[in-house]
Amino acid sequence: MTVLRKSVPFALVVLSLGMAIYQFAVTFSSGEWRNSSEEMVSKWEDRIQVLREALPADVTQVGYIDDSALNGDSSLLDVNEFQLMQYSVAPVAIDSGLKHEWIIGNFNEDSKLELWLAEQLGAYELQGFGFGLYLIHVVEN
Amino acid sequence: MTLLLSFIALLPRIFLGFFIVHSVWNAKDGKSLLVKIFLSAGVGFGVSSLLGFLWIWVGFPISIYAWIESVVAIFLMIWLLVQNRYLLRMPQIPVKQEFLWFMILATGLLFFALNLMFFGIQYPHGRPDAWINWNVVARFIYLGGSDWQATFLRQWDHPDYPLFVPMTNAITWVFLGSTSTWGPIALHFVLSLFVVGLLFSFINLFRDFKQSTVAVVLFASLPFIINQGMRQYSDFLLAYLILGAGGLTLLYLQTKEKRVAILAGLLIGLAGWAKNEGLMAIVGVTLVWTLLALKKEERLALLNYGLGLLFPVVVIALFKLFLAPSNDLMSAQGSLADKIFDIERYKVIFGTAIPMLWNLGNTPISMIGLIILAALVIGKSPNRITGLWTLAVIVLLQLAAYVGIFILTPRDLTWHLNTSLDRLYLHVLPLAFLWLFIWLKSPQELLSKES
Repeated sequence: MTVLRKSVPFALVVLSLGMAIYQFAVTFSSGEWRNSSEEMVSKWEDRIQVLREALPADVTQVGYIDDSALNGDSSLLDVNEFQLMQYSVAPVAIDSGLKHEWIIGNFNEDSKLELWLAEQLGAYELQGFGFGLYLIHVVEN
Repeated sequence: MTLLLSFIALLPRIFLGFFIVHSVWNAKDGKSLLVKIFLSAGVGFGVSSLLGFLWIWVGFPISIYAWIESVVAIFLMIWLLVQNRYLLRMPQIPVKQEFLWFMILATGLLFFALNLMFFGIQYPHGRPDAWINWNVVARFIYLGGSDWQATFLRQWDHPDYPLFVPMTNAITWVFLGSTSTWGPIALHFVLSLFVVGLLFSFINLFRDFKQSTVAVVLFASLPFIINQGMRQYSDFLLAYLILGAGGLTLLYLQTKEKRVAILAGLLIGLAGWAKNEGLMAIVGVTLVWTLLALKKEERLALLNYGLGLLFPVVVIALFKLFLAPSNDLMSAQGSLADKIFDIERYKVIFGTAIPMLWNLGNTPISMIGLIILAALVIGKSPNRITGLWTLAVIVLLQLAAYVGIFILTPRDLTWHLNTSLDRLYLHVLPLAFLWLFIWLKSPQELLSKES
């Protein structure tokens, strides 16, 4: 029993070191760390870069709409993409809806977009950046 | 190059922290010096972020603050080193006598650093809350100029969260000249190392080198710790500050050095500036200091503790009163009585919390089970440390406060538990480790003839 007691701390550290080395080996061999540019947020940031550059420098808040607006059900807002968009366009704050002169559009399905915008906004200018991303400038309210 | 610059950008603030810690608590022995070194990141980044926040709130640009602060911090550090060149004693590490244990420690720290590094590279933007709540605010502060307060207009997240981490990252970006992901990676890497370093240095101070090695190798090898350390959230920072305040409370009880109480107050005040849960830690630790002050001779220490607490608490109060929107948990309360007397809520809370505690650490076998087994076999140290109960009380009060939050939460209870409980345990885990490894018989004591 005495020998067992004395060896417990040593056994604990050996077990712990084994766990740390195993964790490192698994991470290293998975190779995911080699492709950090392929990581989800990095890819998203690359995609949003052109939109961010297109935003006027003096704007502090813009509107934001996604498929939920086109479908008329605000409860379907993709909150994850909204939060990612906020991260990418900061220091511009985004506000869900059409209340602002500049509006970011982020859609999976955009075939009826222009018709819907004409109904909602009247006159507007639309810049598309691919991947369903748009910057909408409301010309008159 | 940017990574190296990110670490260099953090250095002046660590110097500032060391200068403050050493100015308040001027112990010069090696073991105390190690504690002071590992307190300096929390104090330095914390005080810097408080002052930086006041600076930008007044309307001055953050870049000017960052440069002035760094120049002043470097000057103060040089002055301190010159003043104390014959007085400061470096910690004596018994490398030759304890070669095996020294190698175990070195190997543990090497793999800890490697695991942190690879996690950081794999997730350069951190995990979801990093971009939803923390780094996004740093972008508003760094890129927003005089319009930085647009951060409080954010929707679908928590614009009321305090600014310790965002301010620190924004100041780093001033030196990098961009919102490089290396800035936050370097910060969280340094903070993770300092948590482990502080745990080591406290146990080394209260017990011995071998016991501190066992504690930090066990702690730093947990996949949970690597993951939480590099998620780029504020939870590990909060755990660090609670560990610092708890350890300093115990240090005060051993030394009766009244100025240590100032540091304990400062550290726990900074916890409230790191995360809202830190406000509960302020209440818990203050309660412990108030209990201690029931003895007449401890009243001055309580006063000093309050002095340390004052600056962070005033800034937090200003932030909460004049800038931050109300907290979603506080503003959406329904009937409190219904929730308090709902037995089902308690069943759900403990039914989730106990299994999660048992499996905490993401280890193949239960870490808690292993620790309980080890504690039963090894037993309690014969060398009593006065006031060790204070650490257990701080941990229990913090956990009790979290149970209270879950009882009253306006969110879906199961969802709230599943998305936050592990991080709440993290807040007290380093302090619980400190308590356990001071209480436990050390390898040195086990090998002694009396054992």
